[in-house]
Amino acid sequence: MNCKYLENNIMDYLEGEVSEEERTKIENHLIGCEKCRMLVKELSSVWNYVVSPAKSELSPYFWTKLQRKILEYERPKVWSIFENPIKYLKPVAYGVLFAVGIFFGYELGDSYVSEEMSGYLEEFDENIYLEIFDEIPEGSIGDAYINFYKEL
Amino acid sequence: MNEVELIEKIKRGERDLFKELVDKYKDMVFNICFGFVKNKEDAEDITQDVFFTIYKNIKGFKFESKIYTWIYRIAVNRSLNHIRNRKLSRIFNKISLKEESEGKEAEIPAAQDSSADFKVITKEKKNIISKALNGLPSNQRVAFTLCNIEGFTYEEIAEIMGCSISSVESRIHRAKMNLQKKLVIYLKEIL
Repeated sequence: MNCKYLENNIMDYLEGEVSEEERTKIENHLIGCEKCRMLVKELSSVWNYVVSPAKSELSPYFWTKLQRKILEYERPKVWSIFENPIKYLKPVAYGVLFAVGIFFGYELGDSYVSEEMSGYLEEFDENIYLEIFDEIPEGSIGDAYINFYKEL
Repeated sequence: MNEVELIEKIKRGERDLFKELVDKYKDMVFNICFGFVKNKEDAEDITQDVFFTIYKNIKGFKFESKIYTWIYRIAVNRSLNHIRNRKLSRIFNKISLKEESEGKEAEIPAAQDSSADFKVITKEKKNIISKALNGLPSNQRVAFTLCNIEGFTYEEIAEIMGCSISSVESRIHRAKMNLQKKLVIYLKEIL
């Protein structure tokens, strides 16, 4: 019987789960070993605390506090808009900003046309509305196209 | 009125009956939370949180388990979350405020009670106990803590934890072994 053996079986000893023979050996060791005696004493008091944790009681205002929390939760949500308007206005503001950005982007893209490009666009518009027997204007893209195929 | 009828009435909108449910289970929920956090104020806050969660979600309760199983499971989970958050905040405080002295680090809220046994336990030993309990894996800690609260059978613990009775027995046994090892090591350091 040595200190190591006692340390490995100390809980069984404290809970009375060792054989009679082992208990005698342990107690004989404890008589001669102060360190182990202290350890058993301390562990016993600590273990009693661990397995029987000190009980406390709920405050008498427990239900009052809980009820207040529940009433707060049940309050109509619409009132919270006025209490904290920024929280609800923020996403609306972001949405408006986004829509305005899209609108301006479109307008900007639509209105930006170079001089050269506007000439092409005008010609293109004119050619779309040509009547089938109208003469194709000389020097236009349609005229060039027809000449090209004539040469082929 | 039996429990099923009580729950059905609360679900149908008779919220005033919720107080009956609270009165029935508040002490046990508080004991569970206190068993984990060892602090009256924290245990009370967690108990409030548990019943508030039950109130918000009771409409979704489908009687797939017993009502007490559901309530105690919420209590256990909230308690474990509280312990985890406390550990994390201690870690973050350590990083942001530089290392604290050893004495301060070991400071853990002490359990509050006026019984004679309690007064015999010094703050240092309470820290040792907290350290040993916090070092247990969650499932062992839950099984061990519930086992030490009056009124819980192994069957009820198994229902709350969602495991078999033999798993509960095994977890409690391993928790005791682990605690024993840790407590012996920590006590030898101070003796």
